[in-house]
Amino acid sequence: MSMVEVGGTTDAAPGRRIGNSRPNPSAHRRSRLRNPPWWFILPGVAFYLFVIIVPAIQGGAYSLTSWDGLSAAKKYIGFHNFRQIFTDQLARQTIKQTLELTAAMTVGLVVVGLGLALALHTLVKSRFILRVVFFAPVVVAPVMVAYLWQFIFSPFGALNSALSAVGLQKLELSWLGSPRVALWTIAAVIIWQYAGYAMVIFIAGLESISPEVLEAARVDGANAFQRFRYMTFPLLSPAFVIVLTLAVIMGLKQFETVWIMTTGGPANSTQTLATLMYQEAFSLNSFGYATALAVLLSIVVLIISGSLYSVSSRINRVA
Amino acid sequence: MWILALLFVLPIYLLFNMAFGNGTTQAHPLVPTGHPTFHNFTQAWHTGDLGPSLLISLFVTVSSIAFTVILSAYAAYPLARITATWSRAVFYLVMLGLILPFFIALIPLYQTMHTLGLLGTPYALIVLYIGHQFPLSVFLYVGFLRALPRDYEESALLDGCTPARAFISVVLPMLRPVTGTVVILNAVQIWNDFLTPLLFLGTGRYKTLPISIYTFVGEYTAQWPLVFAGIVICILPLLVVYFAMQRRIMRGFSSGLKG
Repeated sequence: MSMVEVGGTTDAAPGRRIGNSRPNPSAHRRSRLRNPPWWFILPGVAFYLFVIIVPAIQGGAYSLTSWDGLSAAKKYIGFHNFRQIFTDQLARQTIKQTLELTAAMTVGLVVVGLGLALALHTLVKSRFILRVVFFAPVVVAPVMVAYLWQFIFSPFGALNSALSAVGLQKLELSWLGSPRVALWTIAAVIIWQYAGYAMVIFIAGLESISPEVLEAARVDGANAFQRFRYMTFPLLSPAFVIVLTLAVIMGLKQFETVWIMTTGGPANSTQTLATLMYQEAFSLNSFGYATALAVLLSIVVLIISGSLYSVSSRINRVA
Repeated sequence: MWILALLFVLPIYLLFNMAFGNGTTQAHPLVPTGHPTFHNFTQAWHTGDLGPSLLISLFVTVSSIAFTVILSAYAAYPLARITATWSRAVFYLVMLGLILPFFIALIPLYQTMHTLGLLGTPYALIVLYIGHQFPLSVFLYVGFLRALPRDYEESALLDGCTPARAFISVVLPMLRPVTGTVVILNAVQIWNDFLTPLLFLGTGRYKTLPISIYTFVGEYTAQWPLVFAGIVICILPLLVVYFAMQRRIMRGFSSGLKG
């Protein structure tokens, strides 16, 4: 191997270099080669620290104060805000509803997304057009989707009038006006919007399963259900983990659809942690309490996505 | 399958049908409008002041993505190539941003922007999006770079390139496919975002499209055909791009989240 200068000028005397060569020039060259300038990370990381990390730390600190967002003084009150969250009726109801919404969304996205993926992976001829159709709502702004469905679900809106037109008045509901129904209506809207996303992830998973494996199982006498249960299903587990993680994070942070469709009402029955936090901070000026809610939300999200991550790495190790 | 497809198409059909309808003579929102008209669009455009908002939305989306692409590609390169502990620590710190709810940073950031006098300007949004979209973009670039063979950079270095020079003339051009994914994912998120502009632009004179529609609905409650025309104006640019390159976009979304 010839000696080549690394990053040097071309017309420096090469002879002298060779004379000064180190005991292991090759290793030296390799290590120099491998390292790009570390300071490349600086500008991007600076923005990231400014926008996410520093404010998040500040947020953690504010959650221990009774700050109202206006006065200069931030009075330290320890964990009072957190105690208040767990004793306050509204906050507890909100936590319960956030978890219910997340659970409904997650189940819905997995069931609908997997169903669509299985159907469009094999069955239908025009599957590419259908995929495009099912995925389209993903690129539409959630706020716009929420307005559209708010109109459809309004008391005299498209759905109820269509139901009465075909003689199904019994099924007419106050979709967004009834505290019993509204949360599930919102879950349905979010599932409608993101089922195509789950579908695309499941399809990618299905496409990674080699047809030969399934064919071998078929030859060995496994029926369609057994092939799905014992072959496809386990091989899809990475896709499941991705969809679950996305759905859970999206559900726990849910703000926009709820805010547009019900603003947390009726009677706080669709209040989520995010909408409650927004109201506490910007309508009621309880910044300290609102940041405590945000800290709680962050902890829950970190725990859940952390455990999903460890499950997924265990699956990867087995697979 | 087709019935289910209908369930997906009907709401979108209804949206366009109402937006093009004349509002009064329709028996039901699903009945095709007899005389399609652009009347709702022109009225929504003027009363909602959608022209300036469209420009603001474009300005914010394009400049945030430009900065994000450059800064995250540069940052991803050492993070993908250097195996030292500090590099891995920085990478995990950045990945934390993928799962951390933005809400926890929102309130303190609002105060900071207020202090800096950026509140109510599009610049606040651009700064914010660069920081906020950084983790996802770095994640995509690092994943791509780790799978990329190093032979090209190494031979460039052997030929006497400085590492910075090798990055700019050899590595950057090879990043094109993943840059497409980065641009698509960021564009959908930034163009459609609602909470951040709602907070950081407030009721000031700069509005992005979703915020304009939001205030518009507040003022013209129950004038649904007008509202729907506004919604069509807001979602059409992304839908057009989507239908023009659907395969690529769907692949971008599914590949973006493996790992």
